Parts: sequence; structure tokens; C-alpha cells
Amino acid sequence: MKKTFLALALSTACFFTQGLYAQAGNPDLVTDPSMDSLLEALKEQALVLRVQVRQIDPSGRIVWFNDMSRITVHGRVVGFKLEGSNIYIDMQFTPYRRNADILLLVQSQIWIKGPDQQRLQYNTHLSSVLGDVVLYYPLGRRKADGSGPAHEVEMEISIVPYSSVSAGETGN
Amino acid sequence: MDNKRILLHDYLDDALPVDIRAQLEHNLQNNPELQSLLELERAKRTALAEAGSTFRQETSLLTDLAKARVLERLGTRARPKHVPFWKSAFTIPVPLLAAMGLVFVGVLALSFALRSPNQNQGGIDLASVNQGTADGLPVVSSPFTFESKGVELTIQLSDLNQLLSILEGGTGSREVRVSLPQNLQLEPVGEPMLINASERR
Repeated sequence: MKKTFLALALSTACFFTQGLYAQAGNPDLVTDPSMDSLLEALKEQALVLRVQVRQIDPSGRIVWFNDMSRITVHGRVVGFKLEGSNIYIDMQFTPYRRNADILLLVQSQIWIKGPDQQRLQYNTHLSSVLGDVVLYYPLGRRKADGSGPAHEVEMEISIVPYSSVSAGETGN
Repeated sequence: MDNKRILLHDYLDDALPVDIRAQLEHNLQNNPELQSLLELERAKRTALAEAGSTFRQETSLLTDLAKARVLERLGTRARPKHVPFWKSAFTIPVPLLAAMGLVFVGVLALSFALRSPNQNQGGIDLASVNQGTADGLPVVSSPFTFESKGVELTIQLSDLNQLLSILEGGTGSREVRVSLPQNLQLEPVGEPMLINASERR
């Protein structure tokens, strides 16, 4: 009985010891302490994409405003959905690094129901522009004289390096 | 599911209002122009995905390294790969195993003998509990500050987690959903337009 107990205790002890040994010798465990440089590299890659949406009435007055931001990196999409009573706009903003500039790619799909609630209009759009502050008009832009009966939706998209924005301003 | 429906499901997500979706399905069944438009859109998306994949491959290489280092810095361990019990138990000679087992039993017996009076009475050492989570991981306060080359760096843990999730290719937090005022009927003014802010009127 004692021998059996001893053998059992020994095998149990060996099992746990092996577990500790295997964990300590794990080759995937990186112990390089230079995390500071790595964090700096991560922060340098990150961007803050800020979207300010304005709804402007025919007289040029801003009747509604929204401000959102998301952290992303070059080449990674930020999705933006805008929903209204008769409208659904699905947009994707992708910033790309182009030499020293930022190229913003915008894809959008727009569904609009007419006043009679029967006719459905679908529009798709793909465009890109260089610049860290751009304006997007998913429903189009009024004429230069500001005339027209409809409201205008203006989206101001600004892209700044994450490292230049304090933590409280990212809006996440 | 026919081709038209497959095409539709490629583009529409569950968030689309049901009535608009039904209307679009109906239109799609009878409108070859809309079908070709969606096919064009799919081609665009494929091209864009390919353009973005190169960047994602580069960042994914960095991800594992980043996560392991951050976890190490925060005092936790990277989770080791699963090693089957039977495999790990027989990778070293039996006599060595036996010796290690004896040492382990000895240490166990010694620690049992040297337990503090508080623990012997079945009490809980609150100091040790406060230093760690239920998983045994240390609690790290935020913001997390450390010094590098004479400069003090402060990292908000929420930001750090977010950066890591981005580099890992995590989804969910990138999408922004905004509701416009419900009392206004919008209508197109013209074609969608993207311009540089310097061209603002």
C-alpha cells in the first residue's frame, strides 16, 4: 500500500514539475525587455480618423452635428453607417500611406426611399483623394450659390497620427 | 440559393432595414443593371482587399511579438502551446523524472511545514489576494508608466489594448454607426463627391 502511494505521489509530482518545466522553456515566450521601442513603433503606425457629420439646411445653417473618431492604421478600413428615416448610407474609409501624404479611399453604398415610400434608389461610389482633411458629400453637393431645396450632408474626415493626439481626444 | 441571392448576401448585412432589403431583393430579381452594378462593386472590393492584404500580412508578423512583449511587461505569461501530458512526461529520462519528483515532494513538504500561522488556521492572506486577479495575474494600474532613454512614457491600458486589437486584425470596434434625425426626409442633391478640404467654398 505504501509503495503504491509513493509511486502515485511521485508520478503526480513529476507531472506538475514537467508542466512547470515546459512552461519555463517555452520558445514562444519572448523575454526581450525592450518593449518601450516596440510601443513607440506601434504608436507611430496608428492613426486617428475623425469624422464630423453636418446636416446643413437650404439656408446654410447647420441643423445637426455629430463628431466621432476611431483609431486605425494604414490600409485598415473604418466603417461608417449613417441611418435616417428614409436613408441608409454604408461607407468605408481606408487611409493609405502614399509617400509623405495620406491617400483616403472612400467607398459608399446609398439607399434612399422616395417621398412616396415606394421608389428605392441605390447608388454606389468609389473615390480617393490626397490630404489629411477631406470633405465627403454622400448625397452630393449643392451648387456654388447654395441654391436648392434639399438639405446637404457634409462629412469632414481628418486623419492625424495617433501620437499627436492625447488619449482623451480619440473618442473611443 | 441562386446566384442573385448569393450576390445580394455579399453586399447586405443584417443591419439593413427589412423593408429596404425586401425591396432591393425584388429589384434585383428583375433588374440586370443592378446586378451588373453589384458585380462591379464586388470586383472593386476584391481589388481593394488585395491591395490591403500586403499591409495586413506585415502587421500580423508584428502582432505576436507585440502581444508577447506586452504581456511579459505587464507581468503575465504568454500562454504556452498545449503539450499533451503523455508526450511531456516521457521526453526526459525516467531517473531524472524521479529525482525531480522527489525534489518537488521535498519542497512541498517543506512549504507545508513552514506555513504561516494565519494560513494554518485557514485564513486568507488578503495582501496576496489584492496583488492579483482570480487568474493569478497581477493587477496593473492605468495609466501605465515606464521610462526609456530618460523619457517617461505613459500608456493608457485601454489604448494599448486597442492598438493590439487593431494589429491583430480584430473586428467590431472599427465601425461607427450614427443615426440622423428622424424628422427630416433627405434626398440626393447630386452625385456623391469627395474633395480636399482646401476646396471648400
